[in-house]
Amino acid sequence: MNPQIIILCKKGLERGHAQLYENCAPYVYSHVKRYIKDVDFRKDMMQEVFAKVFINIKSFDPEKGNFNGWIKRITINECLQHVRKVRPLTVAKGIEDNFELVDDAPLPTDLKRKDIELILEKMPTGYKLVFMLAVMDGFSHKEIAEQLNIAEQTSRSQLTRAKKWTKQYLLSNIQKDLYGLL
Amino acid sequence: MDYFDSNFKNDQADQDSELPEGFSWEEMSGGIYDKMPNNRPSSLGKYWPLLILLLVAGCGTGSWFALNNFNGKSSTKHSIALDQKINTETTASGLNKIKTNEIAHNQADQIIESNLIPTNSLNSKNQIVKNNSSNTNSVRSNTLNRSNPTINNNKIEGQIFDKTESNISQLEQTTIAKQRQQAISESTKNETPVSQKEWSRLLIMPSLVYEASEDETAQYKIIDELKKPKVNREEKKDEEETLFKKQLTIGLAGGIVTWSAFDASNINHEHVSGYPGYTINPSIGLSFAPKHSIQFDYEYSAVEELFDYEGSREIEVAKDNEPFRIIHSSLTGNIISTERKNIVVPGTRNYKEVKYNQYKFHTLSLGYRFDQIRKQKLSLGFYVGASYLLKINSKGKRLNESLDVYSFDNSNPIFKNNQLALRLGLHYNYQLNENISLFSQIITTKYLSNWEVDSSGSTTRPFLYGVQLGFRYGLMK
Repeated sequence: MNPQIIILCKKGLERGHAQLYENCAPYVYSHVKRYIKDVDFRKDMMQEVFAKVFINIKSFDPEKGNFNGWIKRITINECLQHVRKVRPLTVAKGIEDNFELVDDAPLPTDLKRKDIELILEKMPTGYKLVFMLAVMDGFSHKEIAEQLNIAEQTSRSQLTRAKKWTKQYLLSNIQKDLYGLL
Repeated sequence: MDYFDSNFKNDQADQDSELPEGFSWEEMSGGIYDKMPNNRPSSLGKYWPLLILLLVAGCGTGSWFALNNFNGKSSTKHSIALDQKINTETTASGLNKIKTNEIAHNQADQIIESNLIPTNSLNSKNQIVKNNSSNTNSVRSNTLNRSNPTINNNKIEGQIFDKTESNISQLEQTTIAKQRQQAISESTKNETPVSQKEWSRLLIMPSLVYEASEDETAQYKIIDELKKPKVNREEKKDEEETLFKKQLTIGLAGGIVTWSAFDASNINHEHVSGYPGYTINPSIGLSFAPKHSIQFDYEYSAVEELFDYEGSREIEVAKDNEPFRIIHSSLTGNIISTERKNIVVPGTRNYKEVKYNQYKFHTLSLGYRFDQIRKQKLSLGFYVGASYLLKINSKGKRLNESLDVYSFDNSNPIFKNNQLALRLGLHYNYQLNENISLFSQIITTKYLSNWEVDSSGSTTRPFLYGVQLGFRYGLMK
């Protein structure tokens, strides 16, 4: 991000807002579309996010972190707020909640963007949110717990399930691919 | 970060995301600003220092006009007051005269009654009355004359009356006449009422001589004299000026300042401007005349600048062991020998740097200050002087693309010290009491010399401008 654009935005100039939007909108949209399934509502969410960015940009301190990280946080927070409003989070509790599953075995293949989109589309919604926050957006379990109003342990177990599911899904697809089923 | 996570890392996965249709800024901006509490931002944000300057200049000009109008009104008020004074005095003197004339009139009546002069002997009666009214001007007789024009056939009397009338303006005459009428009615109320018989006898009287007495002439002279005090006031003012004592004033002001270099030439800048900073400006002034002072200022200013430095510059590049002569075989075409040496070739150097600079200026100024009116509470003034920049302290932070500071550059001076500038200011004062006045001023400082340390390829002649508020305390010498 060009620092001059941020300065212009901090001054509250529309020219700066336009430039910042042009630069950041694709990045913001990539997050929005993951969290918001409703295609029509994505536009509204983008507006919410940028309104919040323009209001709070004065508090952005470049010495504390980079701009992409900052705008990503705002985007995810806004999306989660909406998710919480529309659909109260229901995270299924299982026996795994009582202990932490450790499964950091490497994935069987390198993933491409298309693969990731497919996995997210197929992933059960129960642990998809935790998976996205933890793996894709780098939130800690503590942060996820705060954001989703669940226990940290629950977040861990949901993530483990998601990872397990992803691996199984990929393995089955690789096998299908090997046998020409895909 | 494990291998699993790195595969899903969103930043990597979504770098090439594209916006769908309907998400352009033009289509989204309306909705975004609707969701912001302050709505659409002002595109004039950049020009707010100019707006402040205009505001202050407007206030200054307004107060100047207000002062001018006030002076005009005060002089009008003064003339009204003067006229009232004249009228009052005239009325008073008229009243005295009326009273005198009443006495004279009574005396005349007594004479008339005592001598039992027949009503047809006009000449003798005229004589008697004339004798009695020679030192006074009888208003009542004047009224009688006017009310009985057929009776008054004395040409001399008419001539005198006309001559007197022409000496005073119509307005004054009317006013005086009215006030006299009023005074007569009031004075007659207090005195013994004149009986019907007496009135009828008075009315029968053929004429009463009216002429401008010496007193009356003197009365109009008073009016002329009363109209003179303007001259006296001017004289008084001159006296005040001669009595003026030199006054030493100390002042302290603070405010905001920013800078621009409209005529800058840098690698990729034709115009350089900074962000507003602050300034502190103590001063000492010596008034050598009521409106004129010499003022000495020390000013400390701190301004900031974001310098995004991107461009290229023609440079000379030194190259070692560069082949400059190669000999080929004419038969085979192979290189037989190569001569090498260190050479200098023209080249281009590309720059890309973002730097956040802070400058602190220490300046001394000496100039002339003019204050419009010292007697009024509000007064306008200006300042013209020369400013000498003693020292610039500069601090620089080099920033990367994400505005992260990656190095500090406080060692190398960015600009030179010891620069000369022209300093102009416009101020207006508000006199709190005899010693203390508050003031606000617009100060502009235009540097005439180039500040750049390396002045070979770039120039920066800053123009500093700002608004200050402060006070001055006068010490009598």
